[in-house]
Amino acid sequence: MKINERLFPTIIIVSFVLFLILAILLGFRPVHGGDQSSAVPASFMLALLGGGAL
Amino acid sequence: MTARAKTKAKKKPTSLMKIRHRIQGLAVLGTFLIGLRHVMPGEASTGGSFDAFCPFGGIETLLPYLFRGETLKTTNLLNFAILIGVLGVSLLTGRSFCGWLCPLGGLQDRLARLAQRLTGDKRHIRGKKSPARFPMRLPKRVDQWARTIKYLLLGIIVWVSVTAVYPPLHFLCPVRAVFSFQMTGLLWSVLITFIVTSMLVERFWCKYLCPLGAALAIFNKIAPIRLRLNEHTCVDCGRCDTECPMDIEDAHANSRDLECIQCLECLETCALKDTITLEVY
Repeated sequence: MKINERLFPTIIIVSFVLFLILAILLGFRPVHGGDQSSAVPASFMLALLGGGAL
Repeated sequence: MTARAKTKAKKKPTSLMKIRHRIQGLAVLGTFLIGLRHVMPGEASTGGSFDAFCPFGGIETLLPYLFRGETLKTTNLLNFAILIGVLGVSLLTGRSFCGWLCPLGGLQDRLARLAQRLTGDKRHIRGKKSPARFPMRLPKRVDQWARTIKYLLLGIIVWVSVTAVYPPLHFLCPVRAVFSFQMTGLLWSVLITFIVTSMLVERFWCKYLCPLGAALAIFNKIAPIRLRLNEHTCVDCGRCDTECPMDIEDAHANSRDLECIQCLECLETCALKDTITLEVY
């Protein structure tokens, strides 16, 4: 399906922002003055890698 | 029709490449401001690290985080967030981050244009071979061999990162050299090398050395949004080849090439309507 090439920059910026927000909501954000190793993102990534391996 | 409406009707839409250069300019400005924030006085402004905003930092610190449960020094979880943002873009549109959002890419494009102006091509005509001496193309064999360096570099960095304390590229990172304002002797030499090589060869860093570009290259093969060539209308004039910043051979037919940065220069340069189009598969 053909798409208007003038939409390309919008697609790039919107997808970057959406995925960034999604990542921050998943817990990938810096913790000021605290432990940088949050358990939630680590287990999320392990699950993701495990899923990929299967 | 009123005079105002006539002017409005005649006004040409901004070219796609102008939009690209503006977005790149914003990326350069944003990175510059992040660098500035980290050298400004005050507790709040010095918090965190410049490296924490780097998507490649997420790749460098991925294995240490999974194996040891902690990120490398100067990186934190924000690296993963930005990496996920970049991977999201790549998943949809291939290596377009390099062509549209990367601040180093934007700088390289400007440096190449500056070199072109300084060496005899003051008013470049799109699609016409530039009479300028620089930027030049490396001999084909050297070029092909040198393009594999970035993949080797990526492998070495990921391997070394397992036992590293700092991100392996930390002391040699060109983004830090250009934007961080915390210069060392080594970073000065990286900065000078970056400027000189970018003026000699267009997108030198992207073609031969960028490990992030190497990591994103595979997405060109799977991204659903990509360029498509209409072979029936293409006259093989080679206009797109002259404008391709990555010097891809037969650029019009190779949008799935690992080296393609989806900058759409070929689409913008093509003079034949609907010969190169953007499609979703």
